[in-house]
Amino acid sequence: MAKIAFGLKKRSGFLIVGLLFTIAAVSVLSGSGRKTEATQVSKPVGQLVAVEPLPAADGEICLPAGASASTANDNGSLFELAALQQAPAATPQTRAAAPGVPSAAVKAEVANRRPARILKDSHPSYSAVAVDVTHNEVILGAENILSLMIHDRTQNTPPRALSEPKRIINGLNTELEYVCGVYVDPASGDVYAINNDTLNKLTVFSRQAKGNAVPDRALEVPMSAFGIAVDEKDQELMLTVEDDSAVSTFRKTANGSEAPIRLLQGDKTLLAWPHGITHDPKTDLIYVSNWGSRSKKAEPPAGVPRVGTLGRGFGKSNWPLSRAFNIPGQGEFTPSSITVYRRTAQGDTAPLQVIQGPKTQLNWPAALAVDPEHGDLYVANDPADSILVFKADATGDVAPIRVIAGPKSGIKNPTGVAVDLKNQELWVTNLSNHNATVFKLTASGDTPPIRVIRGAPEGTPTSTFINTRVVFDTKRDELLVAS
Amino acid sequence: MGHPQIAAFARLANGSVKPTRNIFGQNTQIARSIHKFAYDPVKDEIVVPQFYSQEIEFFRGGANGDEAPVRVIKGPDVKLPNTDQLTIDPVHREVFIGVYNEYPRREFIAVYSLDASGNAPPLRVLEGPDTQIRGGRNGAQVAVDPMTDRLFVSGGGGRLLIFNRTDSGNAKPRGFLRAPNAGMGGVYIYPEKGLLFASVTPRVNRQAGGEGGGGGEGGVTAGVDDNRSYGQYSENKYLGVWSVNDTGETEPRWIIAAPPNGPLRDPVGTAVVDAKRQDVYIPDRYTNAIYIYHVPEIFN
Repeated sequence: MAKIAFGLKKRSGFLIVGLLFTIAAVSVLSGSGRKTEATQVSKPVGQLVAVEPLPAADGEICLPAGASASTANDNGSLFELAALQQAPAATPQTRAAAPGVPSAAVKAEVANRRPARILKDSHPSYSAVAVDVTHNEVILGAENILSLMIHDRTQNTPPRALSEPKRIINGLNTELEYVCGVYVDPASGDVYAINNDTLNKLTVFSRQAKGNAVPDRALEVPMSAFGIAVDEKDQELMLTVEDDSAVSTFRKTANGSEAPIRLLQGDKTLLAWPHGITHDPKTDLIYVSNWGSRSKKAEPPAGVPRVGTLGRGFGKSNWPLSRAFNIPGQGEFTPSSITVYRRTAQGDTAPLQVIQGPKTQLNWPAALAVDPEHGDLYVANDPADSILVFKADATGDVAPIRVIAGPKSGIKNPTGVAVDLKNQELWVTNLSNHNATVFKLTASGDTPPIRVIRGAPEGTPTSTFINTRVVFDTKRDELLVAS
Repeated sequence: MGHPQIAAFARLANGSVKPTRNIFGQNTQIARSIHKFAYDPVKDEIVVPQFYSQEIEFFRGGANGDEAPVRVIKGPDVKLPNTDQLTIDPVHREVFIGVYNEYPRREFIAVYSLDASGNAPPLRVLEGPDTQIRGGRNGAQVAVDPMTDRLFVSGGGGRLLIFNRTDSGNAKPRGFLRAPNAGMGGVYIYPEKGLLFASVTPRVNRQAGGEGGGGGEGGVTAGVDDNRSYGQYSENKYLGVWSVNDTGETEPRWIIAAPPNGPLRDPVGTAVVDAKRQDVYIPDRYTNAIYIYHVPEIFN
């Protein structure tokens, strides 16, 4: 514990200490090659009060009104307590001590030290799913371990076991990172994978690919592409683009730096942070799930090339206008929704249908899958731990016709969903359960799955984080991890 | 990624564990991907940038589940086209945002009151050619030391520019800090001890063509590893520790997770410290892990 002294009376003393420290610092560092703004080492600053560390447990801390004891005692952050104590005309403060220069031996020992703990989930958390009914395989995106995992479609694993995949595609050559969308070619079995966020590639692998395989094709796509849908009849490939609130359409066989052939983007589209996308070959409509947040953009003037987020797609036609063209202060929130368009819709085209409102139960709807035979639309409703089923022609604030959810269903943070018409099955990936679950296509309510593919034994905790940033909550002694 | 979230883990969490609470869902209004956020111990709030809605969100420190922010800074007078890179100064009650705008091409640092709400204009803006701010398309990284009144900002070429905290307009940096033959990113300052932590990427096979604009996401290690596409990892990265008083091309005083045996591959996030336990937390994007090092020597 430390004793903390606040107030004006210490000011002159600390300035003297600071001056002595400055001299000491200059002496220590001179000739070492290290460059230090020595005159700044103990520069007083205007808003802080003095801090004086003293030997442990030799005094009590006088807490300012409103400051909790835990703040001071539990985290030991003198700086924070000083901040709590600040007043409009508070006194300057000097640092109690400046960092020293370690010996080479100590520096080397610290540099080579192993971590005391590692917070990491090594089991796959499945984010996306596609079913290859021709070859009886299911393709799972495991974004937390930067992999594609291919399993036998009929595999069913008991709760305490792990499912053995037939193939794993993983490694630097694969150009796979945060796989959030997958598609399988019904004829060839080629696997399409979308990298969200960090890599600007849609990668395509043959059925024979495994291990650290180089993709057969890699297409440059907009930053933050999430969902993928393919129109086999017209050989088109459609991607949702989160950052730019857009749908980008490419030729299905596009490769390399080929430009999109169509762009759906603009205020009238009501696209707002889109995620899932599915195509109904019977009606030739596309369905897009939206999480509701978006910014309005200004078209670049004539002569100024379009450019995508993070500079991707520079000068390419039909490339989504990036968040770099956002109009300040025009960002907005709308409730989660599903918007429906003709496949060929382009530009700033309004949707034909909008499913949105409290009756819909939509909350960050992720992947979508359509059953064209029965006219049903399946929605992975992530935070609500549910699969919602709407009629494909639904619009407005309508309730789902079926909901699959509950403890028996095992649905937990579903982000992937796929319809297997041949076997009349529904596939769901549960991001927080390390598993993919299979239901009858007619399932409803709290229905147990008929089969489970498990990346970890049931009950194995998952940390669920991806691409993390961290801060330390000193009040609760917790690590906050943002994804 | 599956979904954005802010998950809380017990201090001693190890391996694969469930979070003690998790902030996510449409009411939270958070967006993917959160590249920088902060905890304000004075008001017990979590401060989060949201680049879709161009706002700064404030949550209760104990927020959980699908919980809305308690306040936001948002509106036309806020003048934020992008909100991605963020840091706070809990002492002077300020929040700093590193902003990039494509057209018109702008890179600047906007400073707001940490206690503001609604359509609050910036207190000041640091912007102009003399500033040399060059952070890349997610905005410049920014870190502040309230005790020496120094502001550290990405300057291209892996440099951290050093400004006075209160500088505004087209101010020139008072200096810079850079690891020799390497780039620095993910800057975190622990003011109590005057420590500056940054992830370091040694320069390899540098190609001609200038200093580059910002590497990739988060403006990390700007201009370094120019021949690598972003997302590829390196086995040479580590966490360096400097004094906030260090300037120029300066070796770190301490190194954590040194190559070749260190586990870091792409530590794009900012390391943080638990000063009481003298632990340093380092997130790594490629291995999707958070490494916790106990390094009392650095704090003593």
